[in-house]
Amino acid sequence: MNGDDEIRVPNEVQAAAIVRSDRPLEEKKSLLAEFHDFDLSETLPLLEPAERRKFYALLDGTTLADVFEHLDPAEAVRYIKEVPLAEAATILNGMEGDDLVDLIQAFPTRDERVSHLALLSLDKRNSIRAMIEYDENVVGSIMNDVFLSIPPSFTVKQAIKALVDSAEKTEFINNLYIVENGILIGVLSLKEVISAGSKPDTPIRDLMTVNLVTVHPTTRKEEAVGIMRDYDFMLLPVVDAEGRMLGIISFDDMIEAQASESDEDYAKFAAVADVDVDDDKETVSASFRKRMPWLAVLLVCDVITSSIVAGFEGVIAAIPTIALFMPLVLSMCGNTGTQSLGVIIQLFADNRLETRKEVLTHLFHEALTGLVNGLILGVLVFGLVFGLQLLNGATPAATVPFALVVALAVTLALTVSTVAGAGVPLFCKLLKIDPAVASGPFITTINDILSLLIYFGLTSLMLGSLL
Amino acid sequence: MSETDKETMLERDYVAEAAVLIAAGMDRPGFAEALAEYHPFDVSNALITLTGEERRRFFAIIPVETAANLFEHFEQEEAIGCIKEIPTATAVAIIDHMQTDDAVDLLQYLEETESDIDLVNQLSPKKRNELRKYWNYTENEIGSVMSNSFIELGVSMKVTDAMKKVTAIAGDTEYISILYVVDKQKLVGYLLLKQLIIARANQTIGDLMETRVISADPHASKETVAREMLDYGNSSLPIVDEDGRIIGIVTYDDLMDIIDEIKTEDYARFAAVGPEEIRAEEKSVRLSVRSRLPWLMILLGFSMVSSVVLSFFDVALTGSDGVRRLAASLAIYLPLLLDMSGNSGTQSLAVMIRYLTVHDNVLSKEQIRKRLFREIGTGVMEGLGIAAIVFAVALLSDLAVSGWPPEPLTLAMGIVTSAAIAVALTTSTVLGAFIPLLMSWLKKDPAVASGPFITTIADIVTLVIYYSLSLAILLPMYR
Repeated sequence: MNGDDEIRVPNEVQAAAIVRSDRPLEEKKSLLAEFHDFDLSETLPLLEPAERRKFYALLDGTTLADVFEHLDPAEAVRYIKEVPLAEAATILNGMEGDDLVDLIQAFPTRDERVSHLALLSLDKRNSIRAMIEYDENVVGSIMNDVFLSIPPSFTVKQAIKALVDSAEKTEFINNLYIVENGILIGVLSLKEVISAGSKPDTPIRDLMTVNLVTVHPTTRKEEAVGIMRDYDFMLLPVVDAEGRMLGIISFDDMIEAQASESDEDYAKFAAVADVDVDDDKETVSASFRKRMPWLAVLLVCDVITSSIVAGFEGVIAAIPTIALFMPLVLSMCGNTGTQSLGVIIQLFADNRLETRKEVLTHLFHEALTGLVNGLILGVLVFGLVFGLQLLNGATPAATVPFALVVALAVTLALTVSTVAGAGVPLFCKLLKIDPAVASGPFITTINDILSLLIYFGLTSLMLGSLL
Repeated sequence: MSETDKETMLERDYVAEAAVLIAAGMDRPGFAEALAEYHPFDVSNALITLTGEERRRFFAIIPVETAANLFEHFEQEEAIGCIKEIPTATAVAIIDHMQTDDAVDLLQYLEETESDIDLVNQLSPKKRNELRKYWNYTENEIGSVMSNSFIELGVSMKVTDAMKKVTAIAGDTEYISILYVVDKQKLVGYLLLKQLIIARANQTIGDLMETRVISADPHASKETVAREMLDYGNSSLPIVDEDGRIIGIVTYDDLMDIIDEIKTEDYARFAAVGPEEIRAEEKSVRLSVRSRLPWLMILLGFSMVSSVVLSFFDVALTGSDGVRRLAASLAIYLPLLLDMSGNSGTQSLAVMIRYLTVHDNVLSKEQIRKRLFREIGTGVMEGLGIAAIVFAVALLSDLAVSGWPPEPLTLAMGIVTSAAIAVALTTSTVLGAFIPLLMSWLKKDPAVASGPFITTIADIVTLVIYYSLSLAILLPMYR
């Protein structure tokens, strides 16, 4: 993205070229030092094993640890095995806890996991042991236990000294946490400390912010993302029930968590158990096994729909044209059901349907929305059906009642399906089933059944004379 | 949120506290200090709960910098509501002190009434100049959210001088974690404040800085820049003009907002509603209809296509009673066929879109070939599996009604239906994988364009397969 060159060689390719070149060692080192860790991590796959060994020797332990944090856990495992044990120990010990946990867990055998755990320092082992115990959806699993803490009795001058002393081994120095007897009692931003530099004797106690916003290790990541977004925080302290400071979570981990959430939503809507595409080698039978269960569930739903149609076989045999618009009615109802499902799932996520009154208001809202949409689309459908039938050579006199039936059916079925799209997930929630997972096929089936009953019911009622 | 979390979080309600503080203590001494203990986000939320009169008095007494900071935390409508409540002179002063990107957001939503235009005209010339620059960028371009509150250092500066500069302006600067290094107005490097703090006094900034700067053009799309920032994990990214001058930065909090926006839009797209309905706090029927009706209209258009295709076959299906019976039998399995091929198409579509996203929309010929072959394989297996089930169901239901032996017509019907389903499922699975590829080849976002397409195309393909097979094989038997 550096605008200068017309055709730009990707950074990782440049880095690989530097490794391969016959420049003196020191020159290579200083050239590579200018690259970002992410680009260096992208360089690794471009190199042959022998070149990678040279590459490792060109970087210091801390940088290598940062590079390994950017790798995919599976990749990281592959490369860490190439590294001599002593160096592997430096890399592993230098990595951030959450990435380290992912790496260790990616080793295929228990033996390898154990032998690599043995390379860790006692401190590191203790700190990741705590992380492994937390569910991956809560902040405990990505908490960082290296942070800046000072006692409230410090002056600004002492605080600045503490800051300078520990800056090198602390990844995030944006906040100083004021801790008394292990309890977090205040926070001070780096900016505030620096700005207070002109009054070095001011006690920290007078400067610190005491209205703390904190999370617990068991707080869901999603919720922590919301807090950081609202407050524009770069870091968020994690405390236990007694207010003891345990660690911090940082924006980079939270943003990753935020970005990966959307993949899960995607899979649910697409009715694939697991949209996981990392592996180019995945076989046909693996894809089949992943997708078939969902298709089978949906097939059962469709068989029910078909049996409803079978019940109206006589009507269709009498007026075959009625079948022409069956797919249209079905798909429109399916669409509107998806819409109100999408809206209500979001309301659930925001905790905005807690009281009975809120629920009833929402259902009423959906009914009105469905009715308005149904009326407008009904008019449109009337016009379209009328036009299509005329084009097919039917007489206007015969077409009007027919188009009227289809249009009325669309209006009615749309209203009902819109309400059902909100009602079914509410019912699922009542039964303590995750509405996002269970509702899709349910709503489709229920909407299919309802709309077919309305469509064929109206037909037999209004066009009875033709039967 | 678990119960214990809720309890501890609820120990203190900063919004309520701030509201009480403002409503009761505005005139008391020490109010400013007490208020400073609350985060602007909480204070802005507290203000919303107060009366217009209280808000007017509040904005009349607090320093304009504080007010500007609060306005940056308001939601769009809240900010507009508040700015209209207060006297124009105060409003002008507040907007003058706001971050330019937030000011743009606010002004954008003001109406073109005389008092609003008046407001803009009273802003300081400097602010108006800055605002004008932002108006060059569309809402989707990264330039529209960049901030200009960051620290620049000269490449030849000594560490001590640099530290002095940082100390002097840090308080008034929004973002200080990364310092940007310029040489003759060009961006040449960056360094972390942390590095500056631990540096030795006699070094120069040029010695310390990292020279490979990842930057973005102000017209780049927000999404592209967000992906770049996610990859690199930095807390800010510089925005650079054609001449290599740094004109702003995007920070981690912008990144969080962008990701949230993208997520809401994606979600809305899957649910086939407008993003405004997902975002809205208060819902009205009008809003819901406006957000949903356009989608329904498009989808109605697509559905009509299948009705038109059906009507071509319908001509052959009117006439004798036998033919009418065939039409009815075909209709029974029609929803099942359409639905199943739509489902399998959606599945392979979703998988392919994810695959493309992971590979940044660039695939080698080899990857495409492998991928498509795999989808064909998967489609064939799925088609055969589902067809077998459907055949069994058709046969059993007939046996249950009319007993052994099955009628030849039923058997023929069952065979044709399952054959059609096998072919249709395979075809739509492959199409589901193919359409996103085509979209990305046409340089269109595969995720945007593919959804309704796949259902419609799968519908048409399925209808044609089902009815041509049936008319060719079954029509003579029923006639």
